[in-house]
Amino acid sequence: MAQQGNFKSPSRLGALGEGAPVSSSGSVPGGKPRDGGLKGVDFERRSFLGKIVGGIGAAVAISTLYPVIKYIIPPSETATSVKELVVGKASEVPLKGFKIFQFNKDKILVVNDNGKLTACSAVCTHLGCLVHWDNAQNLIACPCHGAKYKQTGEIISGPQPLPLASFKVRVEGEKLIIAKA
Amino acid sequence: MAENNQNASAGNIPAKPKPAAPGAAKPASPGAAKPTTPVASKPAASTSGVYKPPVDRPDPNPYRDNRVSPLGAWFQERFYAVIPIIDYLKKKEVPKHRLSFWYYFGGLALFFFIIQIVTGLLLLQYYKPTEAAAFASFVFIQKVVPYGWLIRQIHAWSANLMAMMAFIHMFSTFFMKSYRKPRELMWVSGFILLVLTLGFGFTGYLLPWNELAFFATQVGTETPKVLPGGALLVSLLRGGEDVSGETLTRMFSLHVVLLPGLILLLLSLHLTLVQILGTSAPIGYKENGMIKGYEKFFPTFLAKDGIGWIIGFALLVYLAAVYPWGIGVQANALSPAPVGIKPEWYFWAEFQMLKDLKFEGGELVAIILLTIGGLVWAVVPFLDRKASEEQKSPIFTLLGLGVLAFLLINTYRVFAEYGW
Repeated sequence: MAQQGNFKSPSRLGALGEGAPVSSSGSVPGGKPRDGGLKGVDFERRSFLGKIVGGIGAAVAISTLYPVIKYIIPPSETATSVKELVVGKASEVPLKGFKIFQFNKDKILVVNDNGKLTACSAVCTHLGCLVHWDNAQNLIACPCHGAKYKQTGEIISGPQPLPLASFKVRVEGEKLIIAKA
Repeated sequence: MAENNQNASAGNIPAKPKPAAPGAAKPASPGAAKPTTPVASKPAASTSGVYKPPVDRPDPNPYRDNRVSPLGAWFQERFYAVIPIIDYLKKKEVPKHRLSFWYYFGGLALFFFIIQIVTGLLLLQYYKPTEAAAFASFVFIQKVVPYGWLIRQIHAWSANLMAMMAFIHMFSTFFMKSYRKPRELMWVSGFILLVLTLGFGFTGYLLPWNELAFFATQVGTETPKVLPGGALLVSLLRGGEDVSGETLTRMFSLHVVLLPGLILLLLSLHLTLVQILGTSAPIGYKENGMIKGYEKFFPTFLAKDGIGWIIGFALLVYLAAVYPWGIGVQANALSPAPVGIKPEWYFWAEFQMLKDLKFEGGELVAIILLTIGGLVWAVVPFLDRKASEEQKSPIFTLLGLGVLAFLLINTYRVFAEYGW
């Protein structure tokens, strides 16, 4: 293997010959000073070979990095989305209280306002905190930055840009069913 | 400074003259400046009578005039203290002779270790080290994550190749007697690195949490029980009496925290010693003129090492794609052990020895013999006095051949009985 150093670099040339015995000169035959050996170096051919090696190296690097990048991107979840779902029992939502249920990929806030059930997204549209039902003030509140919503999800005040998405909720016997609006 | 310069505030010169460029000898006394002169040019005694001799400090950065790129110069200015070290390392040379080929295997072991770090980090992104989720996450990596199968197969194959390269490197340095003075600690650190590598293999084997892994760990952690106080050691390894989710947690923490930390420490020591002490030539080669010359480590030998690494990488990808390791069946503590269960190939020789010593207390004898053998092997540089005096030591060559024969024959016997 020939010397791979940059022969054109003055600093590299400066380093040559320092400390190393003359016999230790890579492809240059033993005893021959390095500067003398440079006369026989075909820089054009060397540069061409350098480009070929660099190109192959780049191809190998890309084909190595491609699977790695594909790997670290999490695979998309393939869970099927349903129109409506029995999420639990109606008794799980206390009177004048609330409970958050998972429905497909959404988190749904079900409020029991004196027996009147309403459902809307539980994810604040500001920065994604989960909201709660404030029974004293009769509104939905986000504790993170003070967003306030009506029971139906409409904006009252706060930094949130959008209202909470609403969902349908009904009770069949004991079953609590959430459906897309 | 000002107390020596009564006229400092007079005229239009600054109170504190601009300091000289770093590296240049400082002017003798700024206080000596005349009020009307714009620069402190006269290095004479000040009018106050306090004499300040010229200060001739050594150049803080003797490398600043080196012909390097501006970026290189920027770093040189800040790291000039380590430049002599780099210059020293640049002078490292590798002897060329008919056994030079064997010099590449240490580098290959290092290469496969780097692959292990990278693929291990990638596997950690999806692996869940709990009894309930380990196998499912392992299957998820293999079947769902894009190229997850490739990453896992490369990790598994690279582990085997790393152990293989470490063994080859160890025996080649042994037979070339490279461990002799002054490289004793290189040998000892290398031996500990091999033990840590085997530890990686053992702890990593359980992580897929399949049947094979479960029972291999069951057998492996059961073995020390015959030792005095062995029951405690076994329960320490298992995190309880039996192999369970607790064992998985322990093996996982050892595999990804403790062992990597230890191996990095030892590897730093090993590689630093390699750089400081250089590459050894076999005994008598210099005296008999068998050295064909020397090549620089940077960049010639490293470039050749690189070729070895490329070949190793190609082999690794080929093995991972063509000979994939199985997924197996999820571990179940209440199912019988699968027929033909055996450890990884690098434990086969010891496994066969344990099987051979069937008499009462045979396992204890085997463990004692293996421990003594390992310790003797670790301190060989201190026993082989002849090699340290640059004389041939055929007794130790025979010892090495004996150890190699023991490993190869017993490994082959397991292979002949169980297959791959």
